[in-house]
Amino acid sequence: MRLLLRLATRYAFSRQNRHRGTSVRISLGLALCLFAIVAVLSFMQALQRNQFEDIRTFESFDLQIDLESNDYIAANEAATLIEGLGSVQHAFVYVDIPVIAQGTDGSTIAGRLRGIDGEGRFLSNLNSYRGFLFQEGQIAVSYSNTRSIDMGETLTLTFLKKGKQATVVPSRKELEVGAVYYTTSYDFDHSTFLCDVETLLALQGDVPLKIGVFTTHDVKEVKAEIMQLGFTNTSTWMEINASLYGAMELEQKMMALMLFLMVLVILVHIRNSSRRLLLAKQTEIAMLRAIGLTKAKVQALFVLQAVVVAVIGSLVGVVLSYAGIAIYPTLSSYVYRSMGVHLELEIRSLELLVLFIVIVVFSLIASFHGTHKILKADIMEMFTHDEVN
Amino acid sequence: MMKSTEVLTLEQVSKSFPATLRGGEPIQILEGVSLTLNRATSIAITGRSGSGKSTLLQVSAGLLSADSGSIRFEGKEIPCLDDEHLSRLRSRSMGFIFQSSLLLDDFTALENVQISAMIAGYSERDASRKALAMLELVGMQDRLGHTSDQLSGGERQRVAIARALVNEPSLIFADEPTGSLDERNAALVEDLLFSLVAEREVALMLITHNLAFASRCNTVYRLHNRNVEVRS
Repeated sequence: MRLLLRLATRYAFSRQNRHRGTSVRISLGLALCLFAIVAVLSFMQALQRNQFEDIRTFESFDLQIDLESNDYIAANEAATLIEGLGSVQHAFVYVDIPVIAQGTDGSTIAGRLRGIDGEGRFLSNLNSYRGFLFQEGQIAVSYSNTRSIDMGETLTLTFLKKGKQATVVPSRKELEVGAVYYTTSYDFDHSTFLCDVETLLALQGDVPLKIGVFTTHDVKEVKAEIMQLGFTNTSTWMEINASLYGAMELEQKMMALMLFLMVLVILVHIRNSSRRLLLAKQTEIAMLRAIGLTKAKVQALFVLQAVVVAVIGSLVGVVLSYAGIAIYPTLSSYVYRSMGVHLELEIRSLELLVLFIVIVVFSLIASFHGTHKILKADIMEMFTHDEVN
Repeated sequence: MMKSTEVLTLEQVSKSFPATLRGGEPIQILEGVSLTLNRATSIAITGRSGSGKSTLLQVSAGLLSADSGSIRFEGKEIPCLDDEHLSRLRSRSMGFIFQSSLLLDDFTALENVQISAMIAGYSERDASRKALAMLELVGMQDRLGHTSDQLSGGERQRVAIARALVNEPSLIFADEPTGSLDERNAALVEDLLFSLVAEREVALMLITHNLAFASRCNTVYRLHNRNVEVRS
């Protein structure tokens, strides 16, 4: 084995070896491929984490329960009961109604009015730009909407209410803007007006209430616990955002597949270069066989040579990946300027290990495939073979 | 008693190559060749170009398979051996010297000889020690770290001789070992080869055009009409 390793490394990187350039190029190609895959996956995962975090914090929370009733006292009791579960961090009452808001300058915004007893992550990530949030009888608008509606102005809200003759009828109410807020979610900010639950119920009392839940546990398990309490209309954030979640998962898989195709191209290169190297070295191989190296060992020698190149390339790729992640914080301001998000990149070690193993195993198979047929030739056929450059 | 000194025995060995043209007759190279080579003796095979001298050597060493006949090396029937056993036999009991010395380009003179010993099963340290001693014996101690392209033709051939002898084989196959050398270097290599073969009691099968060189062997055969005859 030691002899084969010595021959393999020399064949791969020897100064005398005219194919050293090919070995170096393959190693670098694999290193850059691995780095590109890790970098792109890390960015995508960070973006998704960011997106999902916003969704779970502001939009749908970790779980939500539809109560089918507008009894605020009963809803608060239910929230207290749910919060009593060990796996639940916070449970709070909230309600959304669709509204059209009209500012004093006549501009309108179609969105929703959320009445919420803000708690947990929602409250800690909600920033007040001006004024006090959740003042009774007042409404909070987001900073992104202040070009149309500003602090102290009166906002006219149009929403649908149960009618006496028609099923629903449009209703209009005026509320003073008491605060300006902002969050990290542009979509949420742009479409949402905030107030406390009682203020919203005063506008429209017949809307069914909901309970939002924050947890650090597995949402499916928490859902099962909540349902055992009798709240059957419980949904996880993944169920509520099923299409978005599915699309993002698919996007990630497709991107990984696309990137893996890059690796395949390099592996085809490994196969062909192993074959070329073997063809160029036929006379030497014949000599090695004449002095006693078996066919299997010659095969192993060239497979080992490809594996050495692949392992070195992959290790360089791993080092590049970790180095890239380590220096990312110094570059994150550029990312923020171009994308408007602060991303925290991380490498999933297991994914990297799988990628590393896949590259090495595939290069082993590629070189085996590239050399297997050639070695079937007789020793003397190899001796008389013209060298291929 | 005679049997035990036999290193190589060929009996009725024939070899042909497929026709180069489709539908043509196979080209018969050897037909019913029989010869015996004993320990510490040397034979030379001469003949004109294309007569099949190298083919006879290759078939004898198991580098090429014979169509029929028996080839026994130290009592073992070569055509019956699998790749592993034949490779082991070649590494431990046979030595090869070819016209173009065929050293491993990426390795130094020392490594070329050392690798041969390592293939035969010696540890790296033992192989290095043996290679060093062998290269000293052929006068290459000052060129140990030189690679093939840094050596002259004569020097390469001396390294090839060291490589052929490092595992103390019982038989050396030498195919035109001085064919590509000038007169002076050829004489040096000839002397070296014969002195080492005599000193180590190794059998030698020499293929050569050079009758003077051939005449230094115990027996000189001439390959003629696909068979060998003893040259007077």
